[in-house]
Amino acid sequence: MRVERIPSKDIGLRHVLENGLALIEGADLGEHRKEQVLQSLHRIFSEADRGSQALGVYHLTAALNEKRAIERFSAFYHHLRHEFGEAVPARLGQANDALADILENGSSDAQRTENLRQVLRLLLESIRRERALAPLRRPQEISY
Amino acid sequence: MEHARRACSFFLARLRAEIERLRGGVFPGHHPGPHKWLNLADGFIDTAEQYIQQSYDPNLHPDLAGVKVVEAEDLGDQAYDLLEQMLGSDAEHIPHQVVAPFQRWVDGLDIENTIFFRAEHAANYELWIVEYDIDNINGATDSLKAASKAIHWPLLRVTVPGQALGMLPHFAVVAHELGHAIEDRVSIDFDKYDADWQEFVTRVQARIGTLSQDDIIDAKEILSDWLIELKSDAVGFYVAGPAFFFALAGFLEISGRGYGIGRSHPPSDTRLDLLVDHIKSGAPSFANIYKDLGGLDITPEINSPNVMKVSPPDNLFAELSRDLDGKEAAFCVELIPLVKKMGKDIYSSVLLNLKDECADMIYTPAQFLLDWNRHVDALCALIPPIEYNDGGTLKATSLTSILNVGWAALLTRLDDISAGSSTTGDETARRMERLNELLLKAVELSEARRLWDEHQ
Repeated sequence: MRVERIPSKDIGLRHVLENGLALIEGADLGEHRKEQVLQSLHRIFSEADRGSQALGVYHLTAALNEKRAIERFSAFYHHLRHEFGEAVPARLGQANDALADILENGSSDAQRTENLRQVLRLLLESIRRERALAPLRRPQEISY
Repeated sequence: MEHARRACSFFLARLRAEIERLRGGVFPGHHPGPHKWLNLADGFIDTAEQYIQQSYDPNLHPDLAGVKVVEAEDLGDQAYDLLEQMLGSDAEHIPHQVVAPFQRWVDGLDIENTIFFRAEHAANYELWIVEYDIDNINGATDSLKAASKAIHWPLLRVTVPGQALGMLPHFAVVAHELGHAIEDRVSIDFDKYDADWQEFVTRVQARIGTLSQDDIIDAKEILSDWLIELKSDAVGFYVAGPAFFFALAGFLEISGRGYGIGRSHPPSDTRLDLLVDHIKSGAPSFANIYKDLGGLDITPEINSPNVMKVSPPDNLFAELSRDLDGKEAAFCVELIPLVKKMGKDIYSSVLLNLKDECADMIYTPAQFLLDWNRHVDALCALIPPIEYNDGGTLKATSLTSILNVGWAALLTRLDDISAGSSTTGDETARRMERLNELLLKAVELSEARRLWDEHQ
């Protein structure tokens, strides 16, 4: 089985992260787009948060029955671990809380919002860096 | 900038022409999957062309115009990828007879996702799962949104080996690949293995020292992947019966014969042992029927005598450490006893789920007995197993029955099948080729019979 998750090539993911960051920084995307972006980010971060919880708990069941959420978490972990180390799960959880606050009340507290901003920025930077560093295919020579 | 813009426009125009050419091709079984995929590629091109147009806006800052061109290139690249991913889905590459019956398996398992089948010239069976979140793409055209809406995401693509390795009996492995598409329906309570997990951690630490939280996460990811393989094996077995075991073993034999162990797969011998345990369970079991009617004892090695069994743990750890890093090698070695213990629970949970959700898809020993008695002698007389008489009514034989009858003849009655009048080439190979042709004919004509019945 192969599951395709190449965030550096996923234009939709890149756009939603950029739009999320723009919203936090005060951009006006229009009500409809704003709602769509926030809902989408909340869905993605909830999935990653669920994945991190599934991997972190002592019991095995959650870890082994949440494959998709774990893949989402792993993808984000890959992008954030250099900055946040073992705090990645906590940072993702807080970012998700901020998104829930914004969706429900229109805003979140300053600390959570700042964390969300940092997480979105770092994800984007990492995705762009990964794209920039993607190697060209190596020439191959095979002799039997 | 202008040169890049022109080059991108030319690239997009050529992609469009390629899509039109592909649309004119024939996809076996009038399957809608490839057409939906082409519509998606077309939608990406429409959106890319729109970006190019927007980049000409004189009010747009030059930097933003540059971004538009770059993103148009990205979308074109994505469309190009989509075309690459559907290579081999046309009638020239995949045996046209099998697509409609495979789709019946898909429907029978209540898999609603958009799917297509393709063949490649490689020893590889694979389910590829892909999901694009089109709504997040800025300025996605209506055509792209409509193409995405027409797809039931995630999209699934089943790959089978083509050409010389595209033997019908081996296609039973597709049931395993479809198992990947439904494995998440089967939730299993693994909490009773928490103590075994702790023992696993202790054994690993004895090999490589203390594990960090990251290491534990990594080990759980490997275990999760292995269990998904075993769940999919269980689906393969319950849907395709012993044909799946023979097909998997035969495929492993011909495609490398190694241990099969790695981050994504448990060792092949563990998988084959578990399958044989289940082939031998019940009364009568599939194994009983093979013994009574064909005189054949089923063992894990019967169709894969050269597939390597894993070495004892210390030796295996030393061997794996040459290719994997020490931690991965230790995880793989020490997970083996754990997954062996979990195997029975996995098979019983999959069976329960299939009974609840699609009981008709379970292939039973009772059905196998009927199939053997109805078709094996006839098949040896070169009569393909197209249909059977059910109380005076002729009914189409299912793909699963054809595969199992095919394996029964292949393993127990091959010498009874005429090699034909040709004197060139190996006689056994000629018998097998003839059997393959008869089975393909059966799949094609039984599908025709079924279609006829459905339209009456």
